Amino acid sequence: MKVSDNKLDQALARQKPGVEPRPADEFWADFKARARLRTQDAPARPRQALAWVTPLACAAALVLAVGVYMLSPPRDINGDVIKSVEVVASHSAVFIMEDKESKSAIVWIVDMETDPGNGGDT
Amino acid sequence: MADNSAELLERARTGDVDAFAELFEGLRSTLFSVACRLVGPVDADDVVMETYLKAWQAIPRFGARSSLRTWLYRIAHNCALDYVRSRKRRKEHTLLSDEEKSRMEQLPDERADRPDEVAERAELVLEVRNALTKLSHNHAVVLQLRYTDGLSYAEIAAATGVSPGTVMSRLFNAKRKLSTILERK
Repeated sequence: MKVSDNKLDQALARQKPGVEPRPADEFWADFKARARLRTQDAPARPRQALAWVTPLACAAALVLAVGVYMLSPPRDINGDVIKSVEVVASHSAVFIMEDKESKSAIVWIVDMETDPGNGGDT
Repeated sequence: MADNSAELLERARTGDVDAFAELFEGLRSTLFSVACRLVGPVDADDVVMETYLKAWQAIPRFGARSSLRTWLYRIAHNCALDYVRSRKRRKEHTLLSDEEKSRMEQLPDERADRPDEVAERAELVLEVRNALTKLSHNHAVVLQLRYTDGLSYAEIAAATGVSPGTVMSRLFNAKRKLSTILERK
């Protein structure tokens, strides 16, 4: 049996339960008797009363973040890495050494040509 | 729902039981029908009563984040679950029993003048009723809540405790299965 959507919807709309609810008077009289035995919940606190909480929390978070930043130790030199060194003068080798204790980097250029009379070789 | 529902709601919040009754009487018939789908017609009145009592207790905290109807159907869903769990007797299908089916009303269609059309429609109602019993409980319930009781997707979601997306998916699949069952006849 092929049934159109429209007819199917109409047939579904007619699937009412065969039982009816109690008459209103009877139902609500029963309800009122039972409701007397139950306590209503306290009303929810209005949102306006808590309106200051969000800005205050934001301000506190901001102050905390600034405080942590200000009090934190300076950034470790190990965070910066010398990736390359360009030496214009002629030389034989370059060594880069990082000293964690002194938080410094040493760049050693071997056999770099310097101006005559300057004397040094590094 | 009454036109002066905002005023009735405020009065109900402050303990006016008459205002509560006036506010919710308009929903009682549909709520009863929904309860019939969820727990069966025999226990539906109990579920409706418990739903209203819980709503009475909680209405001071009603935050209007959903409509009163949706809120009420959500409570009804929870009450139905509690009811089912407490009785531990949900083995049987909660659709209508044979006796109840026999009492199903078959309203005359005012638009139909021809007796053969009336007969055809009545036959289709019976066929659909039988086909509904062959669907899963979830599919049958969602179809009846939507097409028989006229609930919105959000209300069905509240009444059945699933997301609106699941409701839409169930409706689509349920209707397709129903059509397949009817076509086999």
